Amino acid sequence: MNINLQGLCPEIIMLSAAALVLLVGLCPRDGVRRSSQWIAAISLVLAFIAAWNLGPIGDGRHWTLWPLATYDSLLASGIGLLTVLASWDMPFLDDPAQSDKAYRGEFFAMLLCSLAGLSMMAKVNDLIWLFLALELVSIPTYIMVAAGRGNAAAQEAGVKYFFLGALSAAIYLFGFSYLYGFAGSTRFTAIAAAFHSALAGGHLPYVALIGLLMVVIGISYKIAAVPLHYYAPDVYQGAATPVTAFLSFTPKAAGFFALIIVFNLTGWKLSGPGAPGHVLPDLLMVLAVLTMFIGNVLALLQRNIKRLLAYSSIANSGYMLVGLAVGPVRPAGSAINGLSATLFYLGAYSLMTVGAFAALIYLQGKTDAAEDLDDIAGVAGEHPLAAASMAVCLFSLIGMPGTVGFLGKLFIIQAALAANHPLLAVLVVINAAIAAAYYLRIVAAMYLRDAWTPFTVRRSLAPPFAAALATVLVIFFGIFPAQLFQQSSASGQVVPTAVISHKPAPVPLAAARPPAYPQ
Amino acid sequence: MSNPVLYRYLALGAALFAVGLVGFLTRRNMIMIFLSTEIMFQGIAINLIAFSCYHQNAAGQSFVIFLLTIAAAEASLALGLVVMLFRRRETLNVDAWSDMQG
Repeated sequence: MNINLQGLCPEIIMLSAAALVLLVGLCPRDGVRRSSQWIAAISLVLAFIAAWNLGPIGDGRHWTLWPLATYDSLLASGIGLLTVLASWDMPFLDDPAQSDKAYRGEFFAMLLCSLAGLSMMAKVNDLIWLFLALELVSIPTYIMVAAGRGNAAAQEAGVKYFFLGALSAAIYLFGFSYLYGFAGSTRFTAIAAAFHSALAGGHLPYVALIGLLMVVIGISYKIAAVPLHYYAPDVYQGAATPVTAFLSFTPKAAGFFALIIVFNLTGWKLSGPGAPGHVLPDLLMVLAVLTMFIGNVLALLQRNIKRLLAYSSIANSGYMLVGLAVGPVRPAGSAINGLSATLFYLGAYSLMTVGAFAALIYLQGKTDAAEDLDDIAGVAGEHPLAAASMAVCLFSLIGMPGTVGFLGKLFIIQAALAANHPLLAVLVVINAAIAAAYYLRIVAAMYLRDAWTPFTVRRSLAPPFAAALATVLVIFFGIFPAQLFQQSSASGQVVPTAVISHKPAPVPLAAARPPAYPQ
Repeated sequence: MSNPVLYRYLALGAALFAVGLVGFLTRRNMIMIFLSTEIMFQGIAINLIAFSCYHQNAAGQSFVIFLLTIAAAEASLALGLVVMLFRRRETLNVDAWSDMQG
């Protein structure tokens, strides 16, 4: 038994830090309690370095390490660090006087647990692990939403988020149980081999098809896509704003990694004329289009910025689903495939949306952040830097050239065109145009209107630093995308072959083991 | 996969799942809604154990143990939430908790 734990280094760092924060955050001495943010931030920096240094190691039995896993850990620790900076004031959120009794350091323990689950996501090689990683991402976020601030809106958001989360968990677990029944094993290698032989035989059993369908529906909750998208506006509005920033990144990234991993089991051979089970890629495309349109059209009606960004988050899931539906099939002469486009967009989206939320947190409005369009009217006069960073993040969400959001949309459209789906590409462009209307309304409110209310900003340096860092990265990756592109395209390329052909899997299972149970 | 005994268990699992789903969508009391999701989880557990016996390996049954553990964690969280909500509004009807719309 030779288990190499080196590949789990980022998760081990995050979970140990979470345990430490739980201890420190409950310490009777106030000075000690106040170190919990620092522990969280430093541990995420260490996890980022550890993830950066991960090579292609692993024995393929206990966990697999492929470029996707490295990319996942880098995103979890890197963007996670931005969310920690954005939520630096979280323990004092309800109490501007920063009373010591209000200090709640355990918030950062929840945050770290959730990030560890996300970082784990692309390393799993077993259905049980995938289930545990998904729940490790979700369960802390339920607590963060419900206990993040003490008002009724947060509690309503918490209860909506929790109950729908439990429902979605039940739905994808039902899918997992059928996938297990189909393959006879929870090991990914065995499931991939079962799909391979079934698809080669030209016949996909209903049990596998229903299983995949339920997994897609269940995980659509995590990524806030149709059909389980409707909770997002209420939860994003009700939750404390730092928690909203966290929600817009972590569960969504986890959901996309989980979907990629599950579709990877099928070898991405479901689509194509006459392929058995082509209903699933078709369904993904329909869901992608519905998600884009519902998100963008309903966002036009919003005046609350958090609600607006919630609908924008739904719409962005739609763009990423387009890449996922196109899949990793790369026609000759094209540098990009659907999967690497999705992964690139995921990194880009996380940067710009967390940057926008960090700017909102800095421009503290009537509650814990600037929420209403009136709250930020004319803010550019008094706080030009905060307004500029918000504007850059919003321009990136629109897809202006020179920002990372432009490249993200460009790659998605390229991938759709290269894979011969011109209609999808056109629909993405139409949606980008609709989206420009509501993002520009925020920019216009900041720059063109007169101040409505006197502004209050946070004294803490961390949220503006997070906003500035995200803004700089949005522009930097927009002009020099090589590093991000390399990571995401490596993850997107290796996926179709790595797990499937890596190991011929042991089937059939009934023959491999002596019967242990009486019939 | 053409074992009539397996199908009976799968039908039971699917029926429990469906009962839970209908309960989730129609009940108004939060505790009943949570119990509905628990029934859905039990349906999944029956699926897993039936497949485990059919394939004659223990992976499905170990899955069930993890499933029950996570379900217990969610149950504790649900009770905490319910107590918190009841203290604020003295009711557990979900219709009382729908301030945010649109």
